[in-house]
Amino acid sequence: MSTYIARRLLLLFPVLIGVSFLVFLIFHLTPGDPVRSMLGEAGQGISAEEIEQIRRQFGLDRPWYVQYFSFLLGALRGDFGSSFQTGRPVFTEVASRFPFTMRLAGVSLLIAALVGVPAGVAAALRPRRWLDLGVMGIVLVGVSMPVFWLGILLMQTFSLNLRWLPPAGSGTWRHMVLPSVTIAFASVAFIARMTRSSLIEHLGEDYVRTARSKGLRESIVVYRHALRGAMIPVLTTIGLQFGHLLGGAVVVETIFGLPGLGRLTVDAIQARDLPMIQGSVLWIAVVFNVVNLVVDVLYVAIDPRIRYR
Amino acid sequence: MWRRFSRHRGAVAGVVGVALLVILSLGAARISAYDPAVQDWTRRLESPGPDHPLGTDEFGRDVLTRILYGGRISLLAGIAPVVIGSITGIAIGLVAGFLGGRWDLFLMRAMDVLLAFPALFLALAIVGSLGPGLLNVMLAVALVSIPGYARVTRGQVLSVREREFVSAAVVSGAGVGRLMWHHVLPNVMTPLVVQSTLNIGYAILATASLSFLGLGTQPPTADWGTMLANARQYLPEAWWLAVFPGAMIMVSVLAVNLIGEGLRDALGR
Repeated sequence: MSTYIARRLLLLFPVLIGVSFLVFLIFHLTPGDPVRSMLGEAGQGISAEEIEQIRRQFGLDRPWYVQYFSFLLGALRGDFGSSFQTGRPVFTEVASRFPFTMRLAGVSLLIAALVGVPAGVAAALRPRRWLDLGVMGIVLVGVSMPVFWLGILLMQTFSLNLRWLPPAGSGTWRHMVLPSVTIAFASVAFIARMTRSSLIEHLGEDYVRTARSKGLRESIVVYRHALRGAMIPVLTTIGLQFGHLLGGAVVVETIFGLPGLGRLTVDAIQARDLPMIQGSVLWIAVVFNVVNLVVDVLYVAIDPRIRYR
Repeated sequence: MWRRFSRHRGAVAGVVGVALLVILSLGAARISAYDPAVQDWTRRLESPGPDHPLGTDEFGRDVLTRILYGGRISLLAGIAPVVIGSITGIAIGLVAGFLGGRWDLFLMRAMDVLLAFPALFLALAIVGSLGPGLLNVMLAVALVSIPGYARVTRGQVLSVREREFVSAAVVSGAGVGRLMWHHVLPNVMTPLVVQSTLNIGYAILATASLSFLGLGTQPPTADWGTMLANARQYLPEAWWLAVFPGAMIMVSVLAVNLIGEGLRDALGR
C-alpha cells in the first residue's frame, strides 16, 4: 500500500513539471507583447526604450529557460507574481478565493453522489420498467443540459418567481442551494448511469448467483454483495466528476455572482491579466491532481484485487 | 450495422434533430424575413406574438431569427473542434502506439499533462493566453479533446499491431507510413467514430459555455451562449430570451448524443 502511494507520488512529479511548463507558456504564447498588455491603456505613449526597460525589470529579456526556472522556483515558494490589474500578489488573491470554489464543488459532489447512486440502484433493480426508463430519460437530459441554462432556469423559478431562495450573493447555506444543485445535475446523470450499468452487470455474475442459491434474502444479495462490487467503477466516476464540477463552478459563479476562483479567472482573461490567469490555473491543476491521487489511493484501499500490483 | 442503427429509436430521433438543425440554420435567410443584427428600438423586449413568434430582445431584434443564425455558430462549434481534435489526437495515438519506445513515452506523458487540468480550466488557460474570440475558443476545445483520442487510439493500435495481417504486411515489405495508414488505422476507427460523435455534443456545450462567459463569440454576432448571457439582465420578465436559446442548445446536444449512443449500440461497443 505505502509502496503504491510512494510510486503514485513519484509519478506525479513529471506531470506537475509539465503542468507548470504549460502554465508558464500561457505568458509566452500570448499574441503581442506581454509588457504592452500589462500596461494596457497607459502603454499608448510609451517609447520603445521604456518598454525595453520594463522588460528588463521583469526579467523578460532573459532566455526562456532561465525565465521558466525562476517562474517554477517562485511558484514553489508561493510567489505567482503580481496582478497586472491591482498590483497585489496573485497568490493572496487566488488563495482567498479558492476555499469558496472548493466548498461549492464539494457540496455539489456530495449531492451528486447522494442522488446519483440511489437513482442508479433503483433503475438497475427493475431494468426496462417505468422507473428505469424515467431515470434513464433524466440521465439523457442531464448530460445534454447546458449548466448555465439550468442555472438561469432555476434562478428564474426559485428566486425571481417563487422568491424562495436568494438569486445572488453568498454567505448563508440558502445561497449555496441553487448553485450547487445546478453544478451537481450533470454529475448526477453520469453517476446514475454508471451505477445502473455496473450493478446490472454485477447482478448477473456468478458470485451473486451463489449468494442467492445460499438462500440469502434478496436485499442482502443486492446491497451486501452485488452493490459492493458494483461500486468500484462508480467511485472512479465520482472521482472523475470532480474536474467537471470545478468547470461547472466557473459558469455557476458567474450566473449567481459568487466570489470564487472561477469568476476570478474569467475576469482575469477579460482583463488580459496574465499572471492572475497563470496563478489560478496552476492552483486548480495542483488541487485537481492531489484529489485524483487521493481517489486512486482510496480505490486501492477499497478494492483488494488491485492492492498489490 | 445500419439495420441495427435504424432500428434504434433514439438514434433515428437524433438524426432527424440534427437534420432539422442543419436545414434551419443554413436556410435561416430564407425562413426568416428579419435580419439578425438590425435593431428596432420601437419594438424592444416584446413577448412572443404574431410578428415575432419568439419575441424580441433588448435591441428589438427578432429572437427566432437570431436563434436560426446562431445555429450556424453551434454547427461550426460542434464540427471544427472535433475535426481538429480527432485528427491530432488520432495521429498522436497512432504514432505512440505503433512506434512505441521513446515516442510512446514522450507523447503519452504530454497527454498526461493535458489531462492534469480540469477540462474547462485548460480551455480557459488557452483562451487566456490567445485572447477571447470564437476561433481561439474552438482551438481550446479541440486541444482539450486531444488526449482522449490519443489514449483510445493508442490502446486500439497496441492490440491491432500484434494481429497477423499486420505481420503479413510487414513481411511483404510495407513501410512504416503505409503500415500505419493502410493497415492499422482502418482497423482502429470504430470506437473513434463513437467518441467523435459524443464529442460533438461536448464541443457544442463547451463552446457555448465559454461564449456565455463572454470569452467566445463577440456581439453583435448571434450565438446561443451569448444570447443567454444577455438574457440574464432582463429576467424574470423577458423569459423568452432565456428559454429558447437554451432549449436549442439542449435539443442539439441531445440529438447528437442520441446518435452517438445509437452508433455505440449498433457497433457493439
